[in-house]
Order: sequence, then structure tokens, then C-alpha cells
Amino acid sequence: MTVYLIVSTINISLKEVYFGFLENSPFVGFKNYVEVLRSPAFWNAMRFSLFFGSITTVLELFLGFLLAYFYYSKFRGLRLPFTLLITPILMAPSLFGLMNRILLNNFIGLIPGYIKFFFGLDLDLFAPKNVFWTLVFIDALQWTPFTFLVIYAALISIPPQLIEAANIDGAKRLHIVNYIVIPYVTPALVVSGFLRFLESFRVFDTVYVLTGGGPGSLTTSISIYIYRIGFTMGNQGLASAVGMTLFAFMMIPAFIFSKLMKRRW
Amino acid sequence: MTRRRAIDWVILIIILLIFNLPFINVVMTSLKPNAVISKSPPPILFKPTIIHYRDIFTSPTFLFSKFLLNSLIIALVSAALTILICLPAAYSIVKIGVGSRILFSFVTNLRAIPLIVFASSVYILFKQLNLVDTRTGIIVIHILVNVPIALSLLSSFMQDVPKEIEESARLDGASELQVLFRIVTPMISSSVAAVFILSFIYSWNEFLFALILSIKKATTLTAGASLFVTAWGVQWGRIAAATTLAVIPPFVFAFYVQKYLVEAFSGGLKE
Repeated sequence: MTVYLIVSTINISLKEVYFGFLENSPFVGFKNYVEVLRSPAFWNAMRFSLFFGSITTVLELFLGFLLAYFYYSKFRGLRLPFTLLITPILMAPSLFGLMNRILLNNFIGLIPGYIKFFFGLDLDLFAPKNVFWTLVFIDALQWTPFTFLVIYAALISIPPQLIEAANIDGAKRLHIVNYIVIPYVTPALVVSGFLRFLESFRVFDTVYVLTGGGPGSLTTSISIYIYRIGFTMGNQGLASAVGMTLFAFMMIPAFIFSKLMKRRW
Repeated sequence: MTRRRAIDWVILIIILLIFNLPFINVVMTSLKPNAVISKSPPPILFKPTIIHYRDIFTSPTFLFSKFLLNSLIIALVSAALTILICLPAAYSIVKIGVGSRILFSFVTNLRAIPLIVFASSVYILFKQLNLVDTRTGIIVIHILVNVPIALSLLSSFMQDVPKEIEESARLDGASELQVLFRIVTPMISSSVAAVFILSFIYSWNEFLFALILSIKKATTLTAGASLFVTAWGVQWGRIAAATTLAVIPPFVFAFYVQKYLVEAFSGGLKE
């Protein structure tokens, strides 16, 4: 099935296809690819995705680690707060986006409302200069619990004797973190970081419901870009060409990822 | 000492509030009368009303019930079929060793590729097959997306079943299918249930394909909720009510799979 999809995507990308009519569509060779690589909009979308993916990944790993370490040292084993902490990852990203749309809305939102009330500041979180960071905030709000979950799972796998022994030997807290905790959670950091990057690089749902890629093309991620070309404009030949170009780019991280995952076997 | 403990609890509660603020806020909005919603700053205390919940079920222009039904059918059927496909597949990979290497890494690699790449070709294929805007179409694509993760989870659970048990079953004359369904599956039944639930949640939450493969008839709640915004932009109360109801089913199940979430992830990280 996957092979079929790849072949058919390549096939479509070499033709001029509009609104799903593949029959009798003319073969145009690499015309679509040339158009993609020459289009500034494509590179803008790639830049947005790379930037967004990197920032959210680093932020979520950092916060996730802090949170996991905090929970591990103070509340280990406690069930209910743990469940409440990971609820965001169970929500559909599109619905989570909708909720934030209500929360952060200029007129009815809780956050802008109270910022105005307490500080007299008229904050438009979806204004061009803020919208990128608003999206980063929302992504971190939803997915820090994910990095937390993975890192916490690694933390509880540390044998308690190891830390006890270090304590008896008079090791300082910082040393315990440096020489025991960090080495133990490194695989968790790498895998969850990688998963987060792959996911937030291709962010679609949240952006679609919050900004639709706008204002203008300011928040157009590569997925939104492909969607716009393929479904809003109906140019599926070109959209497939963008897709295959992206596919080629993604082969590099996919390869690293498969090497990482193979370690479990 | 106890004072420090109190401070820890305060920090924890603040963190919990921050992460759950979007949800708390949407529930509150859904219970506010329209006049209260438009007040600034939004009041924390108000007299709750269930008028928006009644409206989304009764209003003829609001297709909430239909979307809800679509979501339920699509998520249940695709999760069940995912399990039916993956059980024999995982069994043959782990226990018999058919195509384990190449097939398995190929299937897991799928997770690294953004599915939007294939959006156009899926759409065109489904259009040729007349599957656009049908539940069947969305079920098929959700199975396709679910199989990689389900397969890798089931395989790792199956590896923990001791070989001796199957071998003794085989000595007693059980066929491979009997070993799979009579011996192995019951032993990992709670894990199978967890994978079913994870698939259900995934399908329930899936947005991209539910959006492009539906027009109106097969729209799921997750994809439909965003339609409410564009079509009824100012009716925040109804949107909030619809969103609240749409996120609840995964919550209900999540309580049960929680320990598997950790197990699934830690299992993947262990050497």
C-alpha cells in the first residue's frame, strides 16, 4: 500500500492534475518540481516548519525534563496528578487548537481578558508579531506532557539502590543528576525529541484551526502549504511534487529514526 | 519539612492548572449564557446553563449528532480491524519470523513520513473508488495509519510470552491459528485491549484525512468541530459545548490505558 502510494504520488507529480481528475491529465515531466524548487513560498514554508519544529522540540524537552525530575523527586508513584498532567496528549490537536482559540481570543478569551484587566494591556495574541510565539506556546502546552511522560518513564527505571549508594558515598545532588540521572534519561531524550521534531515539523491540525496558515502566509507550515496547493487551489500535480520533495528531505531524519528504533530489537 | 511539602503541592497544582487551562476554560465557556460569554474580563463565577448542549443536539443546522455517530462508528470499526490485521501479522513476525527485518523497519519508517505527502494521491485514489465522503473510506485510511504503531506494540508484547507455552500447545496438536487465538492472544488480552483503545483514540483524534476525505456525510466530530467555527463564527457557546463533548471519549478510555502508555514508551526504550 505504501509502495503504491509512493508510486502514485510520483506519477501524479509528473502530470498536470486539477481537482482530482487524473484521467486525460497531460504529462509534463519535471515541470512541477522546477516550479516547487523555484517558489519562494515553498522555501518560506520549509523555513517556518524547521524553525517551529526546532524551537518547540528544544522547549518541550527542557520543560519535560524539569517537570519529570520535579515529579520524580517529590511525587513519585502518585496516580491522580499524573493522569491530570498527561491529559493534553489525549486530546485531538485540532480540538486542543479550538480550545486555545477560545482561551486566547481577543474578545472573549480568558488570558487577554485578564491581562487587560490587570495590566491595562491590549494584547492581540494573533497579531503578526505574536502569532508565531502563540503557536509555539500552544504546541508546548499540549506536548510537554508527552516528553514528560517518556522522560519520567526513564527516570523510574533507575534502580533506587544506585542513588542510595551515591547518597551514602556523599555525592552532591548536582553530581547525582550529572552522572546517574542524565545518562539514564539520554535515550528517552533522544527518542522523544526526535518524535517531537518529526511531529511538530509537519504541524497541520493546530495551525489549520487557529490561523489557517495566516495572516498572509506567516504561519504556513509545509503541511499547510501542501494542503493549500492541493485542496484549496486544487492543483494536485504540484502538491504531489511538493510532497515528494518533502519526502526526499525527510528520508534523512527517517533513516536516523529507524536506526534509533531498531535498538529495541 | 511540612512547609516545604506544602510549597511542592502548590507548585504542582499550579502546573496542573496551566496544562488543563484550555480544557477548564472551554467547559466554563460552554456553560455560560451568551450574555456572560461576551463580558470582559470573562467572569469566573456565573450561573451555569446547559442551553448550548441542548442547542447542539436539537438545532437542525448543527450536524452535531451526525458527526458524533460518524466518529463513533469510524473509530470503533477501524480500531477493531486494526487489531484483527495486526494480531496475525505480529504473531508471524515475532513467533514464526516471517519478514521480520525488512517488513518491520519498513512499516515503522512510515511513522517518520508526513502523511500529507500522500494526501493528493489518497484523495485521487478514493475518488476513483467512489470512497470520498464515505465512512468506509475514512476507516480504510485510519487502519492504514494505525497499523504501524499497533504492530510494533503488539510485537513487543508478544515477545514477552514464553516460547515453552506455545511449544507445548503445538505438541498437543494445535495449529498456528489456534496457538495465536487460543493461547497467545488470551495471555496478552489486556495489552490487546490497550492497543485497541490507543487505535480508537488515534482514529477519534485524526484530523487531516477526516477533513480531506469528507464533504458532509462522513465528517467526524474532530473535523466537524472546525467547521462550526467557520460557519457559525460567533456562536462560541455552541462551539465550546461541541468541543467539550468531542474530547471526552478519549478521556474515559485513557484512564484505563494510562499504565500502558508508560509501558509502551518505556518498553520501546529498554535495551
